[in-house]
Amino acid sequence: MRGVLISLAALFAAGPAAAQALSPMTGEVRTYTDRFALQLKAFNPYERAQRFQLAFYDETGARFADVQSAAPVIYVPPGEEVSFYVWGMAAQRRRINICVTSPYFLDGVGSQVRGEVCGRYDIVRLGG
Amino acid sequence: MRFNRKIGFCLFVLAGLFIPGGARAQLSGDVIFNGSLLDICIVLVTGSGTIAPNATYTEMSSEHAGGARGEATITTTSTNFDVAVDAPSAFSSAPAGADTGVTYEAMVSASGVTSLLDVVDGVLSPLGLGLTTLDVGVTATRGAGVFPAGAYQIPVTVRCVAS
Repeated sequence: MRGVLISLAALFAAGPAAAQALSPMTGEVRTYTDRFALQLKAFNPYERAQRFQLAFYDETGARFADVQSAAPVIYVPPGEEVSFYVWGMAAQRRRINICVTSPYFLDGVGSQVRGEVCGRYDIVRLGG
Repeated sequence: MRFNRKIGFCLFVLAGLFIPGGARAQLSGDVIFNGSLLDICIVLVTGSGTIAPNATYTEMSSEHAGGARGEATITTTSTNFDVAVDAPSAFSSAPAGADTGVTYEAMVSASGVTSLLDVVDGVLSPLGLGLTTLDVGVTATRGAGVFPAGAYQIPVTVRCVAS
């Protein structure tokens, strides 16, 4: 990802990895180029390994086509966290909602529930 | 004797050089503790639910006799989060023809650090700081006719959103 500036010092601040579904939940990415990238961590609080789905939405709930990750699904062992990268095109200012979604739980009879955590990130292009 | 005094003076000066600077400069100091508290939201689905028909077989719901709500917990480290449930768009598993003319709705109640009572799908509600327990309900209503016999599954998403 040549030319991509990641200036998300607060987001990369090292801290103890408490149980969490997505960290950080908010942030601002500043870039001097027309691209951005950010690193997030997904935590699996469940006792079984999980395949979390990743999705990227705008504020209206529409999916972004120009925001992507290496894979649409991340595999997270039980009780562990996995870092993943998200990148895309940077506008002068754009807001991206990144959601990590667990599979549906199948132990019920009739109604399945799944969890989803969505963080909110502002992408700011400096200069230009 | 004079020679011994000179040696002693030199040793005193040398000893002074080897005293650690911090200990020589001050008699007390602060011990610095670093730490960080991440703004996090944990969603943990603790139990799926059960849907059951009404007497006329026009509804399948967790709210009818024999039904049960799904359960989840949300733990937050700040008050910067909202919770919402999504209405299903379809059964994930159902007998053929079961989803014809069906409307879906979900609702959520909360206890713990957040108090909610049957908030309908799509509505964001602020979460308190700490542990919230959620009861998630769902209803599928048939516009015409009745639900056919068979096994049903209907999905509901519980979402924690940065506000």
